[in-house]
Amino acid sequence: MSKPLNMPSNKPPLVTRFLCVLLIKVYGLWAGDNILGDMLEEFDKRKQTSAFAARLWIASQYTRTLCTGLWRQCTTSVGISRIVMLATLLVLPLLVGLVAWLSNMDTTTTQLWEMVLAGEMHRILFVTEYWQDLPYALSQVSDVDMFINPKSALWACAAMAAVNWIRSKTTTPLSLCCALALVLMVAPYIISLVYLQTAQPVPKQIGPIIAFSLFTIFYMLPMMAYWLHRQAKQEMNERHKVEESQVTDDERFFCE
Amino acid sequence: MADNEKFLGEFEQMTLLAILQLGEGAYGASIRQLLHEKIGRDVSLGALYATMERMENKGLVTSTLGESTAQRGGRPKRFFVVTAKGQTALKRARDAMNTLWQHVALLKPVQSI
Repeated sequence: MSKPLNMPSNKPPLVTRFLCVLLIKVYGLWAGDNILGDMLEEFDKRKQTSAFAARLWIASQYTRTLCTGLWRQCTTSVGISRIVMLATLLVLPLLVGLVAWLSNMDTTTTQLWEMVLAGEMHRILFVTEYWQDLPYALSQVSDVDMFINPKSALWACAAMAAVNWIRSKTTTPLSLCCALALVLMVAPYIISLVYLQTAQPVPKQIGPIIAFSLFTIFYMLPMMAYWLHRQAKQEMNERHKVEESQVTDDERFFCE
Repeated sequence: MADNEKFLGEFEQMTLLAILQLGEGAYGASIRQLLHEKIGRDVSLGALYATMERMENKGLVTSTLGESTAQRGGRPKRFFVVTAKGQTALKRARDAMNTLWQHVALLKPVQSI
């Protein structure tokens, strides 16, 4: 196979070194290198008629090809697993911060207090005062007990067990199972948001409701990431087994 | 062929037929061009090579590298050939479709008065 970055002297302006690397990263060396070769060849042919049209063509072809590849990667079990893993790494620290802040919120601004009463935890993250208070709140965290919520843990376990059961007993695609897990994870938060805004309970009752909704996400995200990682691994192993059996079949065919 | 083995997808069938039609000159750009000219399907090279890679892994096609050209930025062409397994799969798909099409009468277009 040729070197992937072996660019021609008359390379079109849109196909830069970076874009080539990106395409090979998305498609792998085998397909990426061939795609680039074919693209450049057709670009060269089209350039004979109109250079502008050729540039337009290669730009649209590159975009379409890249989008197809990215979409393909995102919808594989490995892709979904990686996205959820990334989401876990991003969301968990935010949730830890929110829990720490809510547990140590003695005095706060009216704006933040109104958001807490309305259950709008997501909006708190966009308020400057919250981020100013956060270092102090985090310094006050000395006990892991504040991160334990049995009801949320029970919900998270039941939800993941249900998703796992559906996946193992039916032919539901992994993406759909993942969407279901996501709905079950976010549902308590959405329901609490609607309830707090319509029923407007007394402040004492708000704490447990918010805790339940936040901790469900806190527990379910890592569980989901781990479950997806295992599903992806299992799928890869099965694929390897099929490939190995195909090789054996081919060998038998040629021996006969 | 095992009963539980999947049938070829629509795009897989089209690609295999295009390779057979092109003969020795079947490579990415020519397959793409043929599909565009004959059936008006403008596929991206990404979708085409993703399918080719999958079919090569399944043993439906094999590929060989041609000579490198300056036009292609020093990259060689990858020529594809349909294997015996690919041809069997293609025949199986055609037979299945022929069987299903038997005794099927589609509605005639309504003539305007």
